[in-house]
Amino acid sequence: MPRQPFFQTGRILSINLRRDWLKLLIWLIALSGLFASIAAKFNNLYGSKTAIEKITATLNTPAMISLFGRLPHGPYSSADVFAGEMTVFMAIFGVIMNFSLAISLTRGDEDSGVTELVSARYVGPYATMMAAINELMIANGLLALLYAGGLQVAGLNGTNTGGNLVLGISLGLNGLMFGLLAVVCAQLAASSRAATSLAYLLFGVIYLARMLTDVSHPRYTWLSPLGWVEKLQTYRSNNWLPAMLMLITIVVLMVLTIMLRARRDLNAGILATRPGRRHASLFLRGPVSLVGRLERNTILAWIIGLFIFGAMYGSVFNTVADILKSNPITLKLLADPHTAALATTQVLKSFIALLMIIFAVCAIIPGLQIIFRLATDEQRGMLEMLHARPVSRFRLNVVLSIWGIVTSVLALTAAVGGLAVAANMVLDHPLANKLFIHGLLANISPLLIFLGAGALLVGWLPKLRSLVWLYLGATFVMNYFGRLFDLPEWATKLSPFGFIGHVPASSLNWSVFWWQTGIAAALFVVGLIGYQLRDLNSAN
Amino acid sequence: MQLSPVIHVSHLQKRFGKFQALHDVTFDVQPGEVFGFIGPNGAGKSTTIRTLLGLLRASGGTATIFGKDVFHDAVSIHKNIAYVPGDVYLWPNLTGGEIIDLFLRLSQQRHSKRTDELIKAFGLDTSKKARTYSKGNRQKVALIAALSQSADLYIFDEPTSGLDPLNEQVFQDEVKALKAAGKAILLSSHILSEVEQMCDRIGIIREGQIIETGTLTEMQHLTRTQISVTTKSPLTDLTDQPGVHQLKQTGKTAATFAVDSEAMTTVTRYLAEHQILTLKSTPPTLEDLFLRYYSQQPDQTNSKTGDGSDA
Repeated sequence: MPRQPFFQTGRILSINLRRDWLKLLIWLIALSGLFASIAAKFNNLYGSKTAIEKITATLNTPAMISLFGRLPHGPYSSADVFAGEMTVFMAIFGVIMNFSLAISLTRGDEDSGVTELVSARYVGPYATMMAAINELMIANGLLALLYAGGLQVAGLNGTNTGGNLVLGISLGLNGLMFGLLAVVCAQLAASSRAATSLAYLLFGVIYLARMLTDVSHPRYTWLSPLGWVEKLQTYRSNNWLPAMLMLITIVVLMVLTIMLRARRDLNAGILATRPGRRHASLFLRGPVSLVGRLERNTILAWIIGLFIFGAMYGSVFNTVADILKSNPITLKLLADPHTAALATTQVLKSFIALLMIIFAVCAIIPGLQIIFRLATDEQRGMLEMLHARPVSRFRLNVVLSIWGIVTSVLALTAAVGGLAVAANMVLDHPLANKLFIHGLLANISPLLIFLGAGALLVGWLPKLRSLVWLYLGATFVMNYFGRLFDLPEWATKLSPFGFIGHVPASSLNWSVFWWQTGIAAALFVVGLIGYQLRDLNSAN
Repeated sequence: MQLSPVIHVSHLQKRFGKFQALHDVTFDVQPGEVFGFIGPNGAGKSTTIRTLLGLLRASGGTATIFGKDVFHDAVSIHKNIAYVPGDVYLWPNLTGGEIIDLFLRLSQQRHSKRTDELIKAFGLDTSKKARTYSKGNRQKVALIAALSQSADLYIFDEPTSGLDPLNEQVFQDEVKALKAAGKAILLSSHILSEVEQMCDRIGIIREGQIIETGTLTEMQHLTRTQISVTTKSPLTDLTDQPGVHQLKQTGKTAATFAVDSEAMTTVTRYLAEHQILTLKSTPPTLEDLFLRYYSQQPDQTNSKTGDGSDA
């Protein structure tokens, strides 16, 4: 093995880039396009003083603070509103991009055997890993430039070059920092799936820390690395300190990665795999129990995770009234205790309606992953031996679909349950359980449509199944922002969530529930027919 | 054979979009018979097997197992067959032991004494997670599950490609036992010595077409025997003898050459006329057969007599 630990990194990098260029291009265009096109619209949307006052009043509500972070003190320009609304949001999307890239470049290549083939050549022992890190640097560097450049071109009212640079570069650094966190996770866990789960688990903790501190004690938001992007004081003092912190963290994570990599074998993780049972338990005897056995940890993690997620949001419900008081428009209403209670309940109901959709989008993920096993396990060759046994395609498809539906519904119920329990613990006037139950019911039918769309593609066009992820992502963006940009009616109707209203702020519409469930059922059935008829592919 | 065949494949075709993977595959497998299925990579062996398992839908022709349609009656057929794929992929977080038990239970059978014997014979550590298994160990999991299952038809798709010679021997012994018990076996393999030893009949597939089926002896008949000979009187006009190929004359009275089976009588008569001193004849191995069917060398393709694809 060559002496230089990183020998041939450049060559591996160029091969990887040739392989990944389209994926990188799509990510860069999607993220910078989203960022720049919103920036370009901002002078129109929030150009006038009244429009700015209206939006900042909304952004200063606890719901929005929990989602977007805190605004600095007024008065506000269009650029301030943009920075307040977009920073945390783009940071989250940057994290998703970096997790996906980092895991597939490290654990993904290791799982598929590429790393072994490359490492057997005349290359340095850390070259493949360094090539992966370099690719992350390139992706995030380009993204930072595109962000800063986009802002410069958009020319928001109240913008300045320093602010454009600090925002763009910090978003890039934030992405790289989380990318390296994923590379560290890839050293700890022994498969790409486990590494991804670990990375998102850590991210969940970091996100919740940001959310809780933002709502209660913004000073402590410094404790969450995701909170650093909020401390940039963009377009005010343009504070570079958070960027410095990110840079230091990046260096620390890089050293940590190399140390961890040195301590483990190729294809193994630091967290050891323990020996298991010599015989299957009596319970493991068919497709139903097989899926249960394979997915039990993931399902439990999602249910517990979403319960905590919901409870964290519920625990900030009592601060709603406090924040309403700090808002001059709502303060007048709160003078009268009766209207104060009403106004608070109304705000909370809208908050619940908004949270529901975010919970539902999260809850769809594990269910969709289970249904997609029909395609992913097929491609990885595991279903071949199952299909060669007397297990019909019909049975396997139905079993996975039901597991997917049950998991998603349970995950959503857990989130709503956590929200309800925690909210009613902190509130002086508890909210009726009916509000939560209606919110839950309203979101089940769109959830089923997403799972049905997944089953449809698995049945007919398994290679195009990622379209459902794209659709889910777009839905998430639209709803996260829905209230802030007056989206036209037809645009909200592009997603099944656009039809259910804002339950519990508006009332539960049973006819929507039934026709959406009907559509979902039809999607499942058509998908099942396709799965019965098509060729089943193998790994080779 | 008077018994109805276990596998009956007739003019099977399979198209993937524009690519025609199987043109015309026809063969039968009888009970108590080991049928060897050979051909180079990409010839259509696995595609044929995967069609027989009902994983792929045939574009034309018919294929039945136990007289039932392989696609529509897949589930009822699968109750009585055992299958080992060439590349075994297992769920990484289950142990080998769990997977063996699961597979047996899916076929409505249970972990028996025989299962334990097989685990011992193949030397598999069943407590390890499948993630840590090598290719050979993953293959052992599939082999143990298949061999400890009682079925009427066993399908093996290159089952020994990752096994060491000792385990390969275990496998061959097991297959012989199955055959003795009257089971039908379809064995696709690259290891020609294995096929030569175990198979009663052989089917050779090339570019999605079965180009030859028969016993090894029948096939040897279609090709050339290697002869090296020394005689008393000089072999001057050996080149002119019909059916003689690749002649190497090491002296006036010594030669090595290949001879077509149908020309054997005339050539030996010719040699006898020249008073044979020593004679060594080597019948063609399956490898020779295989190479003869596939090799693109000009001296082989130019010679027309007994060319396999015409036969």
